[in-house]
Amino acid sequence: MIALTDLTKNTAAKLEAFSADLIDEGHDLVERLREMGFEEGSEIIIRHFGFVMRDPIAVDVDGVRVAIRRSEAKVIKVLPL
Amino acid sequence: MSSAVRLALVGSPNSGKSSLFNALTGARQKIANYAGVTVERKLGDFTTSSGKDYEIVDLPGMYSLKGRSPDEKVASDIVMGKFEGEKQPDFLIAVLDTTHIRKQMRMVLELRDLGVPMMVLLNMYDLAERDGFEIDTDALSKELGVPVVKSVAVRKAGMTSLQEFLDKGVDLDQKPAGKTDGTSGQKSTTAYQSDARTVAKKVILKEGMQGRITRQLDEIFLHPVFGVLILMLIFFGMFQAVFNWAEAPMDMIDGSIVSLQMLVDGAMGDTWLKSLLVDGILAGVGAVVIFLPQIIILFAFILFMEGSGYLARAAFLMDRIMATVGLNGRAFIPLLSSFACAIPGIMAARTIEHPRDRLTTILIAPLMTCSARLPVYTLVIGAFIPNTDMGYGLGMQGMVMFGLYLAGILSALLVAGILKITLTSGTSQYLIMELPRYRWPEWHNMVIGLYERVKIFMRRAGTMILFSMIALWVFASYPKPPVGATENDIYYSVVGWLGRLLEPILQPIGFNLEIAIALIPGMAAREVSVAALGTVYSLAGDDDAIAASLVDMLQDLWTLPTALAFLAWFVFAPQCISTIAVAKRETNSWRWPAFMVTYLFIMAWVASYLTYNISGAIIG
Repeated sequence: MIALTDLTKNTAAKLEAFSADLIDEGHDLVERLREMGFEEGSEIIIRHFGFVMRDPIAVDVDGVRVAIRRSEAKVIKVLPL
Repeated sequence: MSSAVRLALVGSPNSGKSSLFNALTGARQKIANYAGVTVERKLGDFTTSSGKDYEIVDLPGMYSLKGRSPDEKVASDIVMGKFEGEKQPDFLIAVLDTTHIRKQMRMVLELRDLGVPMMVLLNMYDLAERDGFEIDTDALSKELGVPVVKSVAVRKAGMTSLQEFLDKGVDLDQKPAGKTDGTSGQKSTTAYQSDARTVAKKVILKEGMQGRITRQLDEIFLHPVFGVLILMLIFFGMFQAVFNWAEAPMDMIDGSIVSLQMLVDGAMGDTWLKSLLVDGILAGVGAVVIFLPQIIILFAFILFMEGSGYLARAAFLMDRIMATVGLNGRAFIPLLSSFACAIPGIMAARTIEHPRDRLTTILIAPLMTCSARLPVYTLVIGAFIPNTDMGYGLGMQGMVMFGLYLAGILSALLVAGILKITLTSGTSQYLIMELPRYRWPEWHNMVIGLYERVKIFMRRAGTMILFSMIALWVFASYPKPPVGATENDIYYSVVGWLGRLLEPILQPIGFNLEIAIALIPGMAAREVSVAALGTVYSLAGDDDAIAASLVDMLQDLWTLPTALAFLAWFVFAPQCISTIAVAKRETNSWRWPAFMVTYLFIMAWVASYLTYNISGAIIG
C-alpha cells in the first residue's frame, strides 16, 4: 500500500484507506474527498501533474476527473493493480 | 406569485443546473444575494404550456448537505427550511449529471431522507449514452420512491420530458421513501456511500468511460509545456482584449458624454443647475457606463472558459504558483484583469469558491497597476525622468514604468502573504476541484450570464458610483469663493478645505497643498487627478493641452523627490470610489472595503515617505 503521491502516472490503483492523521484538519478533508467520489474500493489513476513541482495532480476516480493538491493526496492510500 | 409552487434545482456543481435554469426561465430571472452572505440567489418564473406557474430557485451547487462552504451552507439550509427569510422549496429537482451518477447518488439519498417531495432529473442523458452508460430509470424510481425523468443535453429541445412532467403538475403530497423524517445528515457520509453503492449496483446497467474527447483535450491543455503555453496565450489574448478592444467603445462612451455635456452647456444659462447636470450627473453617469466595455469583454472570456470547462484547467495549471502566497489557481484571472481595471477584476473574484481566497483576492486586486494610473505615470515620468538610453534598447522612462508595475505586484504578494497568516487565516482550504467534461458553451447561457453581470454592476455598484460622483461635484463646487477672491475657485470649496486638512499629513511625504487638493477629485478615477492638477494650477483647455502644459509647470513647481513620491503614492493609490463601491458590493460589508482603503493608504504613505526622504538624501 502506497500514498497516492507515490503512484506513477497512468497506473490503475485501488483506494485502500484514508490516513487522516497525517495532516491537520485531516478528518474534514477525508469527508470532502468522500463527497467528491473518493471511497474505499474506488479505482484511481493519476492522469496529469501540474507543471510546477508536479503539483497539483489530476486523477480519475471511478471515471470522474478531479484535481487535488499533493498535500491532500498524501492521505489517500492506494494499492497499484 | 406566492401561489406558484416553488421548485428548487439541487445538485453538485457542473451538473448542468444553471443551464437548465436559464433554459426554463430565460431572462425572467431575479438575481440578488442571500441576506447577509455573498452567495447568489437566483430565482425565476416558469409557466408550462398549459399555464401552470412555477417559481424556480437555482440553489448554489453542493456536494453534500453538510454545508462545508458558504455556498453549500446556504443551499443545504434552504432545502432543509432552516434559512431565515427563505421559504422552504415545495418540491426538489435533484439534477444529476448522468455520467457521474455513481458519485452523485449519495447526495440524492441524503436529499431523499429530508422527506421533501422531490424528483430526480438525469441530465445530459444523451452524452452518457454516447459514452456507453445505460441506466434503468424504472428501477431507480422504485428504489428511491420518487419520479425519475431523463433530459437530453442542456438544450431547450432536450427538456421536453421535464416540461411535460411539470405540466402534469408535481405531487406535493409525495412522501419520499426516506428512512428518517426531515432530518438529514444523521447518517455518516460513509453510511450513505455504502447505500449509494447498493442502489447504483441495481440501476446502472452499463457503465462507460467519461468522454474520450475530454481525455484527449486534457492531454494538450494540461500538458506541462504546451498546456502552459496555451494558457499564457489565452491570458495574453484576454488581457489584450480587456485593455485594447475596450478602448474604442470606451472612447465612444466618453465622446457621447462629452457631446451631451456640451449640448447642455450650450442650451442652458450659467446656473448651478447646469453645473450639477454637466459636472455632477452627466460626469457621474459617464463614470459608471465607462466600465461596461471592460466588464462585458472580460466576462465574455470568463463565461466562455467556465462554460467550456477550461476555467478549471486554467486553475489547475496556475494553482501551485498561486499557492505560494496562499491563494488558489482561480485567483489568477481576477488579478490579471485588474491590470486593466480593478472593477471587473474584483467582480471576477466570484469564480473563486473559497471565501478566504476570494476575500484576499479582492483586497489585493487594487495593487495591480490599472490602466487609469497610466496617464498619471506618463505625465510625471515625462516631466521628471530623462529618457536616457540604458543600452539594449531600454530607456530610463520605460524602466521606471516597469518598476512601478513590479512594485505593485510585489506588494500584492507581500500583502497576500501577510493576510494569509493573519486576518484571513483559519481552517486550511483545500483544492479539491472537479475537472468537468469539455463542452461547447451555449450562446444562450453566455448572453444571459453577461446580461446578469451588467445588471448587477449597474444596479448595485453603479448607483453608488453615481451618487459619490454627484457628492464629489458638490464638494468641489461649494462653498463658492467670496467676492474678490484671488485663488482658484476650488480652494474655497469643501475639497479645498479637505485639502488643507490633509496637507499636514501629506507634507512629510513631499506633497504640497496643490497636490493634496488634486488628490480628492482624483477619487472619482485616478486619471482625473491629472485634470484636477490642471484645475488647481489654473490651466485651461482640453485634457491633452492641460497634460502638455502641466509637464512644464510641474518641472518648475515640483522637486524630483516630490515627483518620485507622487509616483510611489500612485502604486498604491487608495483613492478610487468605484473600487471601493465594488468591493463593498462583492464583500457585502463596509468592514473589508474600509480595511482595504486603510491599508492601501498606509502603504501609499509609507512608500511615498521612504521615496521622498531617500531620494532627497541621495540628491542632497
